[in-house]
Amino acid sequence: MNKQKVEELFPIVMETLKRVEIVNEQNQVPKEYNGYIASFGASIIQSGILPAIAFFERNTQNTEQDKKRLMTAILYVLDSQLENQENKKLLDYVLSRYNNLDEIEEKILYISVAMKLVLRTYEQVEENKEN
Amino acid sequence: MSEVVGGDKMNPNIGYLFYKEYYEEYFQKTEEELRQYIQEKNNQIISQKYYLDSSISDDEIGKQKISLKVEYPGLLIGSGYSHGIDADDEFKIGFSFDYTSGLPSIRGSSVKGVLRSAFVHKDYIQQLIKTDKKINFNKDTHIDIEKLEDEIFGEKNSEQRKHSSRAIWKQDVFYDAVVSKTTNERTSLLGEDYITPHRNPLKDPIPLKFMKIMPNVIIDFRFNLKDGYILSIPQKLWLFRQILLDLGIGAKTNVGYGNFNDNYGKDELDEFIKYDEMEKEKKAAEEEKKIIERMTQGEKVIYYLEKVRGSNQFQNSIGELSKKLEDYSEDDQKQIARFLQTEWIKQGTWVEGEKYKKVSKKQKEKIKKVKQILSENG
Repeated sequence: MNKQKVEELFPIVMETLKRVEIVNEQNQVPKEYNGYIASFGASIIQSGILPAIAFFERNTQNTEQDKKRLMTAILYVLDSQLENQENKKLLDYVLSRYNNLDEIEEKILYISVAMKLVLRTYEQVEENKEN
Repeated sequence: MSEVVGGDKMNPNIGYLFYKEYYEEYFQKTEEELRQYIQEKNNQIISQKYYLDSSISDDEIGKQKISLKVEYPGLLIGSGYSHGIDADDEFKIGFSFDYTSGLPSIRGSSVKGVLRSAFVHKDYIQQLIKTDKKINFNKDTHIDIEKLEDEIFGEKNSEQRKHSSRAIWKQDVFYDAVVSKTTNERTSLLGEDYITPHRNPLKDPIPLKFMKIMPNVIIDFRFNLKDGYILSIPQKLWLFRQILLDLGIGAKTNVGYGNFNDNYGKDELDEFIKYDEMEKEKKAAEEEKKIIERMTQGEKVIYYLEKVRGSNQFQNSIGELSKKLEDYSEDDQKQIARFLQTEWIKQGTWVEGEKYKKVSKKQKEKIKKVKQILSENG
């Protein structure tokens, strides 16, 4: 893992986290996202990139916060042009580039590490999920 | 069906099947093929039996073990790992496997955690130790349960740990619990089951499929325990066994999962403890023999005398010894003579000056002899 590549992602990750409203205007983050992003990397290693993304993008009515936002954030970091398109899913994006799966997986891993480090710099708060 | 990687087609790595291979071709299948694909994967996993070759190692890890048989409905471990992508018929809950063998395993940290969690209930532990016949603890002795907890599991906070006098090699070790080699090869290792959360009585329950370790599978809990100040190794083993029987391990213990048969493994543990104690005695005897072989004659005499100190035999032996000093070499005579002198001084029968006249004739002769050997004027 190249530390420099991770550090270079910090500015765009910080901006994207605010755009998808994981980080609010008071620079606070629901504390559950800490655990979600930490487990995402482990999930990729354990099950593979596609199942991990599918697991995080599934219906999350039973979870405290919306895990899909993390996947959306990763998608927008990968391809900032997609921010203007609604309902785009990271899984569809990765499947459409199935031939370059290894490359995409590496990029996503770097983004998830950067995201994990950045999230910890914000204040962690208790917050109820929006309906 | 795809080529099995990680193992061979006869003995595949079940953990690999469950996590890596499970969704490998899922995203390439059509809607119609998905259900059958998942069912095939499920069948491939739960049809696996336990093969002796697939055990972790021929060498036993851990010096002690407790074998327990899983009771109905089974055991679920590793439910915290993520699994499932909202597909039909898939296993919705994760499972814990050993990475190398692919067999179900219970992490050593989980075993330690369950055992330690019992110590929150001090009265329960107190009662268990004092009433369990196998633990065989003196009922009248007070037990400090907090100290016992620290002794077995380590001190809770870092300040206490800094001042702990226990070296790291004297601490109890808890290994991963694994499927036992004694599991019958015809026994099904894994099976499927459902839970049906029924959040709203007016709505249909949603069955969630998950995987479990089947009843009658034998699990070995392995440890490297040390004799402590409060409990010995056999006592700790019986205590741990009873806690595991009472509390169970893994997920959904409140609805019956994770429990074990009360009677299985008792006789084996008894035999193991007896054998272990015999081995310890044998080892101690061998070491003693080696030490004695390196001793001089004089040292041997004193060593055997010390073993019977406090008894009548000790006094008689000293008396006899003083008569047979000539049988030993010069150096041995001096060594024995010094020992006799020290003993008689302690007993108050080595006297000089005025008090010498009050001693018996026999004792005077003995003292004279010893003094001669030690080259004192007498």
